[in-house]
Amino acid sequence: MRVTNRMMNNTLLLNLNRGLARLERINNQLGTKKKINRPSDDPVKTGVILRTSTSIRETEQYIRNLDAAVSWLDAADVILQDVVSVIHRAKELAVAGASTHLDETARQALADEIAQLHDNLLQLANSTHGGRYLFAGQHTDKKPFSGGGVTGDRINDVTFLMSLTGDETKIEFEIAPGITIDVNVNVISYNPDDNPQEGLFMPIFNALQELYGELVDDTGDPDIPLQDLDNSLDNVLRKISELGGKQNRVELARERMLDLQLNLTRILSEEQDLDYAEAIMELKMEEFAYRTALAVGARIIQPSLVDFLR
Amino acid sequence: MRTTFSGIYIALRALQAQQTSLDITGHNVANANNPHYSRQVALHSATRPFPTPVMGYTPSNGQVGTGVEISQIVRMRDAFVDMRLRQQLQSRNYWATLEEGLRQVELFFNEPSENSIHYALDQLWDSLQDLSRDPELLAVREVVVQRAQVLVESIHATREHLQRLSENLNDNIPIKVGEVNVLAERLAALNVQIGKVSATGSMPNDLLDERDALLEELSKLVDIEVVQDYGNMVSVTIGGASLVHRGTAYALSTREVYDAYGNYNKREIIWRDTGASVVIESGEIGGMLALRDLLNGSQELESQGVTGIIQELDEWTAQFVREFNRVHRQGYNLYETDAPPDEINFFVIDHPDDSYAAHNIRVNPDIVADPRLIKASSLPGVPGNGDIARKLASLRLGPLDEPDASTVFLGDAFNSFISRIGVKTQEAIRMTENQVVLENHLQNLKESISGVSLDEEMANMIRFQHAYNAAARMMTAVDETLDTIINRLGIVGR
Repeated sequence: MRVTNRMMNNTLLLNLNRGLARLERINNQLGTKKKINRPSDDPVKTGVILRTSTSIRETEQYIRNLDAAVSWLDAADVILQDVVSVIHRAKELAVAGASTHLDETARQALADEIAQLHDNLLQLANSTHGGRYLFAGQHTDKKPFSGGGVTGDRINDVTFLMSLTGDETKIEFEIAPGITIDVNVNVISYNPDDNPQEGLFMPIFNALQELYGELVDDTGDPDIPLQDLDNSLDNVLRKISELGGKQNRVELARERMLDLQLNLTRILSEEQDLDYAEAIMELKMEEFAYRTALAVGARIIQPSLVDFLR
Repeated sequence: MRTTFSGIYIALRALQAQQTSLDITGHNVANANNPHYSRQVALHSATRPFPTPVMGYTPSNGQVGTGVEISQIVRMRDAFVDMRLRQQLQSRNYWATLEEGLRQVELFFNEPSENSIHYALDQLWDSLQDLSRDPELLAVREVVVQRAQVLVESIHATREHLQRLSENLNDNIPIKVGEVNVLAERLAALNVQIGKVSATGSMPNDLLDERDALLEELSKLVDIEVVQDYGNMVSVTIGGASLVHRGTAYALSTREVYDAYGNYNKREIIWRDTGASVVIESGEIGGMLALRDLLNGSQELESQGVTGIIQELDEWTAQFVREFNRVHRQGYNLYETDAPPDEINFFVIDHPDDSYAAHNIRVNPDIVADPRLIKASSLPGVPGNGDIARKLASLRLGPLDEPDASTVFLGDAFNSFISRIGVKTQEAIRMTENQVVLENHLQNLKESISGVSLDEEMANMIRFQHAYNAAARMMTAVDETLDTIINRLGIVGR
């Protein structure tokens, strides 16, 4: 093949250009720290990257949901522990009140403390978490219990203001794809068959109200409703242990999500992130090739026969 | 029997021939960097030998030579390489145009990055999960609206960019068609000149170079076929129809084609005289047409099951909005206290047709003004219920298992849409790379035949110079022999 000066020139330019294009690609990879910057860099991997990054954001969201679930469960737990102390104290007072040796003033003092406990319980039952009522089911904007206070010789009735049915009792968080957990305490009923108006708090209110009545009533021996208090305590403790179970479940789910997130992040990183050692090796090699092409160019372009003629 | 002075004439012809060759060498050197120039070579051939029909002639003596003449000045060119190079230029420019356009399309989508539709969509799903946890909080509702706005804006911006690219292509088509017409006119004019010169029997080498250059220029734009005609003229056809025939050029023109809504005007290339459409499949114009069809879709692509990128974005948007609204309508906002739910949509598209969905999608302005209108609850009058928000968020995970639910996996559909664009772009990039290498190879092949090698020209120069010198010496020798005869003969005893 006949070789002309322009041919050498063309080929040199083409090679320099292609070398520069490769350098530019590595430069871009190093600059962005990513192997894949455009779908055309690797369409299949782009699909994997898009899916994986969605999955990562999904797990992040579930972790946030789980954190919120923990805070709901913890809040209810704290409240119910307080309710337990209220019942314990009420029982102590009830036992004290059962004594026939007490005079009227002493019994009144006991009754006053019962009234305070009743008040306290009402506050607990109306507790809020982040501005929302903990024990109002999905009607988190409405105060669930009202009434209370002492009028004359009795504590006023407490009424449960809402009638919750079915789903309305549950605050559900999604903690994994398609899996929900109810993070609130269903105060309406422990068993589905129970009378909705009974529930968790109402028997305690009623027992305290009765206890108060018995204590201020000075006619005859007080008939202390100890059994009711014991039953209620039992109910509350069962709720607390149920909460504990949920807390465990949420904690486990959270650990699992964190593991998953770690795995997904690793996958994404493998698909997308640049292997620096490899990239810099490649950069060095391309740079070498480019420099060589330049040096060759400098040598072949100059001399022609003209340089050697007199 | 030779004449006395024939030696002078032989030397004279030699001097003239060497001088012409030197001139041609000069011409070659002068055009060494002219990319369209073809090296010329003067063919030396011996002049007619002198027949000697005279006394003493016998055939065995052989004929007496009479010197040299330039029989032809040849342009070194390989028509086959030219043809292949023209085809190469067509497909190289086709793919380069596609590559450039598709790279832009990729930039418009900007995937994978944090400024993309995909990311905005993920953010919307996240905010809906938050809403499902805290459906009564206005702040969370605001976030949902904001995220939806970001998504809508990303879809809008991408659609606008794509539309503008397609419009730019459309606007450029008449300009490129104009270039084709100018080239065709010049080719026709050159054909005439070439025909005239050729008729006189000489070779219009430099005109032929100019015409080959024009043909290459034309090949960059459209896929032409070149047929040799008599008198060194050529005929050029596009898709079988004549663009240049001898001295006549047939002009191209464009005409606007409107869609069913009178909105999108697509320019079609036609023959100015007959109005018939021109089939252009390669070259830069072919690439522009192909890219435009990739963006907007065309009947031909549809028959192959390929939808245009803009169309596909519109369809995806419409599907997304339909399914999102369908679920949204099942719920209740913070104001509704009774069943059944009212028909407030979250996204609105004010157009009867899906084909403008990505252009027209908006977040319902009422919801933007008052996010309480977001239907997050599955029960009327229960603000703490976030079931519908959760259901909306679960669209991220796949199609819903409901009787009327769309079967499209929205997230995956979008991902594979992006992957498909990636595949197309990758194909264009690889094809362009290959075409550039092939083109370089053919250019080198052409150069190896037609290119000027300075080394060669210098060697030739020395060759011709020496031959010239030798011929001059020859002249001197003849002169001396004549001198001997004329001046020194017959002067014995003078």
